[in-house]
Amino acid sequence: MKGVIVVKCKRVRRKLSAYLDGELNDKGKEIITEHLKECTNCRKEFTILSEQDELVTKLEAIEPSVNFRIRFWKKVRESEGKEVVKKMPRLSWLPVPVMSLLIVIIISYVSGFYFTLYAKGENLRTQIETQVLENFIASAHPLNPISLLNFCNECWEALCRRAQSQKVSSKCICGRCENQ
Amino acid sequence: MKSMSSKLALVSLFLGIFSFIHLLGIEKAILAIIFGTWALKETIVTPKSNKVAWIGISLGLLYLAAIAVIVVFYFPKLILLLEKLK
Repeated sequence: MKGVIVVKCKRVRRKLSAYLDGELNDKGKEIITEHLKECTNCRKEFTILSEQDELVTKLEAIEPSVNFRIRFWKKVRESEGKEVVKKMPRLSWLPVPVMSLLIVIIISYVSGFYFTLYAKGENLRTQIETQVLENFIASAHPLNPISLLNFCNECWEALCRRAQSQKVSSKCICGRCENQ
Repeated sequence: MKSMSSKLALVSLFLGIFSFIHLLGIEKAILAIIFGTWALKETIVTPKSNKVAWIGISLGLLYLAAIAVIVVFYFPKLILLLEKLK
C-alpha cells in the first residue's frame, strides 16, 4: 500500500507545476486537489513551489542585451575549453553565389562554342573535334589553368590555319602560325 | 580530436590546392568551396579552421576565376572564327 502511495505522490509532484499554472484539465485538477488534502508531504512540496513561483513573479523583468545569446554561448564553449571565433555572417554566404556565377559564365561560353561547332555539319565537326582532341593531349600541363590556356591557343591556331586554307581570312589572326 | 569544422576546412584546403593540378576537371574547386562554406557554418569554429576554410574557399574561387577569365577571353574569338569556316 505504501508503494502505491509513493508512486501516486511522484506522479502528483511531477504535475504540481502545471497545476499551479492552471494548465491541467478539470479531472486532473480534482485528483491533485484531493491528493493535496490527504498527503502532508505533497502539500509541503506544493507550498514551497507556490512560494518560489510568487517570488519569481515579483521579480522585475530584464530585457537581454542584443548580443546576449552570442556572448552566453561563447562563455559556455570557453568554459568547455573550446575557443570560438565570431563568425562573419555577412561574408560566409558569398562563396557559393560567386562560384555559381563563375560556373554559369564558363558553361555558357563552352556550350556556345560547341553549339556553333555542331551547327557546322558533320564533316567539319569531325575534323575539328579530332584536332581539338589532339591539341588537348598535346597541350597537357601539370597546372590546370596553363593547360587550358595552351589548349585555347592551339585551337585558335588550328582554326586560324583552316580559315586561311579556306581563304576565309587572307592573313593570320592568331599571330602564332605566321611566326612558324 | 579534431572538430567537424576543422576536418571540413582541411578537406576544403586540400581540394583548393589540388584543383590547380591537371587531374580531371573543375569539380575539385567546386567541392573546395562547398566544404569550406560548410566548415564556416558549423556551430563551433576555431580561429585556425576559420582561416583554413577561407584559404580553401579562396583557392577554389581563384581557380574558377582563372578558368572563367581564359574562357571569356578566348572562346568568343574561337566562336567567331568557327562561324566563318565552311
